[in-house]
Amino acid sequence: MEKERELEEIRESDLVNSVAYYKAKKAGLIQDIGLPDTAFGTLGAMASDIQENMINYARGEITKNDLEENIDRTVVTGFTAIVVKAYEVVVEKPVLSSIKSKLPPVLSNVVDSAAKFVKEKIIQKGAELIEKAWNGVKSFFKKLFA
Amino acid sequence: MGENRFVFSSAISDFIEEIKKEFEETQPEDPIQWFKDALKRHCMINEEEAEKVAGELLEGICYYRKIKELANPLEEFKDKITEEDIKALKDETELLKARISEEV
Repeated sequence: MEKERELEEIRESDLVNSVAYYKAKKAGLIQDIGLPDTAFGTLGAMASDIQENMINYARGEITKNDLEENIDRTVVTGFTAIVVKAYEVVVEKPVLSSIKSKLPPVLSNVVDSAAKFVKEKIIQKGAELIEKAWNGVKSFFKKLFA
Repeated sequence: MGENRFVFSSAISDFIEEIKKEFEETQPEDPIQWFKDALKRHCMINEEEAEKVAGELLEGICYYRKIKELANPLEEFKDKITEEDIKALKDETELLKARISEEV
C-alpha cells in the first residue's frame, strides 16, 4: 500500500528527467563521483521541482524570493536523499566523504540544466507549458491499482 | 572553477528536451514500460539492465519525495550530514541562485 502511494506521486517529468540524467552520466556529462543509480532518480525528481518553480516564476505566480527559497529546499532535499541512500550501499567511510564533498557541484549542474531547459526550451520557444502533459502518470497508477 | 560545473548544462537540457518530446509524441499508456524502453534506447543498456536501473531510479524518485515531506531533512539525518557538509552545500546553493537569478 505504501509502495502504491509512493508510485502515485511520480510525475511524467520525473521519468523524463531521470532518463536524461542517466543518459548524461553515461555520456560523461555528469561527473562520476561514485553515486549509486538511485541518485539519478533523485536528480530527475529535483529537476521536476526546479522546472515547476521556474514556470511558476515566469507566470508571475511566485516571487523571486519564493523561487530562491524553493531552490534551497530542493537542493537540501536532493542532497539529503542522495547521501542517505549512499550510506545504505557504500560501506567505506572515505568513499562516503568523497561523495559528500563532490556532490554539491553535481547538484548545481543538475539544477542549472533544469532551469536552462525551462528558460530556453519552454519559455523562449513559447511552447505550451508543462502541466497538461506532465501529470498523467498519477492517473495511470490509479487505474493500475484500482 | 566556478563556471566549470555549468559547462554541460546546455547539453543536458537538450537531452531533457529530446526525451520529453519523445514522451509527448508517444503518449504511452504504460509510462513505466516507456521508461524502461527509453533507458534501453538512450543509455545503450540491455533489457535486463534497463529493468534493474529503472527500479533504482524509481526508488530514488520516491525517496526524494518522501524526504521532501520532512520539516527539516538535514536535522533528521545529522548523524550522516556534518556541519561542514551543510556549509559547503549552502555556499554552492548561493552560487547557483545567483546564476539562476541572473538568467531569469
